[in-house]
Amino acid sequence: MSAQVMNDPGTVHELGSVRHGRGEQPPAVRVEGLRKCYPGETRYCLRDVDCEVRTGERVVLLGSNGSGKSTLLRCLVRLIDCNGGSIQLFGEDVLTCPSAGLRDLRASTGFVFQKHNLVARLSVLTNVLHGAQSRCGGPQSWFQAWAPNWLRDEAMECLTRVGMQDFADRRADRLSGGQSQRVAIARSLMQRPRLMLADEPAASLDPASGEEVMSLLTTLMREEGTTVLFSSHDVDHARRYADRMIGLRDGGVVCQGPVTGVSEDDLSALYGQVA
Amino acid sequence: MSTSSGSMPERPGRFQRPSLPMLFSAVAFAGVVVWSFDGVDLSLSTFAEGLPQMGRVLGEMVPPDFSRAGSIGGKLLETFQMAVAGTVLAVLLSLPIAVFAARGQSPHPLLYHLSRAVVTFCRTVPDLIWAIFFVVTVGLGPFAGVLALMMEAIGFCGRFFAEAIEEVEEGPQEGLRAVGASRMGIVVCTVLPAALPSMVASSLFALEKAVRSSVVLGLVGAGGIGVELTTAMDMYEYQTASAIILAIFAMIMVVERLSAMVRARIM
Ligand SMILES: Nc1ncnc2c1ncn2[C@@H]1O[C@H](COP(=O)(O)OP(=O)(O)OP(=O)(O)O)[C@@H](O)[C@H]1O
Ligand SMILES: [Mg+2]
Repeated sequence: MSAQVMNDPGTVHELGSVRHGRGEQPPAVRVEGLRKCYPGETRYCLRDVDCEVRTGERVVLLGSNGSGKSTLLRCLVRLIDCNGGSIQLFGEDVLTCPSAGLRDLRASTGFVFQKHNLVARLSVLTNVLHGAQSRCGGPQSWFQAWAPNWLRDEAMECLTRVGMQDFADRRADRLSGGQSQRVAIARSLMQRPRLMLADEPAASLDPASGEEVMSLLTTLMREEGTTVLFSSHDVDHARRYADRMIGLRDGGVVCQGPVTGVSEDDLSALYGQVA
Repeated sequence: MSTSSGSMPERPGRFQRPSLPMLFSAVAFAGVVVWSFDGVDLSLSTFAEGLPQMGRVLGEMVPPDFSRAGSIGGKLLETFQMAVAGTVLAVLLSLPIAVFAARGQSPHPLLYHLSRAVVTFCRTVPDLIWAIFFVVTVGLGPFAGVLALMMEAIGFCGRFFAEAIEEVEEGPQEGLRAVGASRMGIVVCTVLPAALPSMVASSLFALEKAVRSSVVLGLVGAGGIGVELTTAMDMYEYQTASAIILAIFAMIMVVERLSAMVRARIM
């Protein structure tokens, strides 16, 4: 049965039956018929993806290597261009908005990468300040040396929330992987995001640091009521840190539903024979 | 069980039989070499006849005459100042040019090709020609020299800065793009910091190059120690000339040593 499901990404296998009313509030993320084919490739690596993340939800994107998790997340804020379909964040159309609007959309959407993507030669504090680049505009958020005091205080506050306040002066390339990822989270906090996207934030960390980063990320976002969409290939993380899952296989959504309803069958549909 | 004799694979020959295009290009190359030697009146006898003359000039150069050390020192400092000023101007101008000339950072393909063309042009025109051009346009003196050195250094820095910028890793840039940063913000906050060590090293190389070039600019009246050197040679004051040459040698050595030390520190 699972073999059928995985061969036809068009059919979405609904897990459980929890369905909130789509009433007054537009969902945080709504993706319809999204397709993506990298230039020079013949295969579509996202094929008619439909999915939705409701406001305030914590959703995990599960799938094996190459299933298209990173591609999907990057498409959401147009870090890469897709080839068709529609994407809405909080009701705003991502694909048609002009570049100024796009910058605002990105500003209100945090993005934590698998590899922290901090600027190696700059200080931790400066890296965190960069989170305010869209909001403040102009050079005041470029380097901590000439940032106004209120902005530096705000950055220190974000650092304190991830427990990295003692490292503000340290160069970013003198941090461990887990510390870097916490600084990256602080930089996203600086954006005051409505939606937090995270692409396997714990994948390059050891189990303990991974655990720390995942619980930090989800706890902070819960405090703020921020919607979270993270990708992972760790089923255990998915169960503990998300409310709902979206399963990707070969660029298609094969199942979505509450994490509590995930069965071994669903996992084998996602990961092939070995769950 | 097979014996070892005969079962050995055949050893390839030491030389492979040349292919026809290979043979043809070898003959053509040999032809160009012979033709060039023929064209420049290469002659062992002329060289042999010139030997005593060389010996005489070299002999007249010792001992170096440092009696004009004051004016030589002044001109030497002027040469150094020209090199520093020219290089600094070039570095400042090269920064924006290099951003435009770097694949992946250039805001528009037209700007990319234009800035590449400017950099290539600056590099391919020799410094002496720049110097002649500026002597004619802004007049004799060190200012013409500074401009000439600047043009040459733009050709050098523009190219290497652009390469350094192209080599910067994509990750941090994507990180800032996701934050909603402007193009300018991304360049200043991620690209330039990452390219900085390489750009400082290139700038120091440019300074060394400028110090060496600035010596000859005086030959066409663009300021610096070169003027002193030509004058001394023209007046057959070979002992003064050798003092000047030694002073130039010392200055270049010092600049190269210092620059190498700084580069070793930052890389
Ligand atoms: N820049 C690219 N150019 C061409 N193909 C790409 C590119 N990036 C990804 N792909 C292809 O797209 C498909 C999906 O890749 P993607 O990185 O989205 O998968 P993923 O689910 O994030 O995998 P992982 O768990 O390894 O991170 C893969 O088949 C991959 O080969
Ligand atoms: Mg990925």
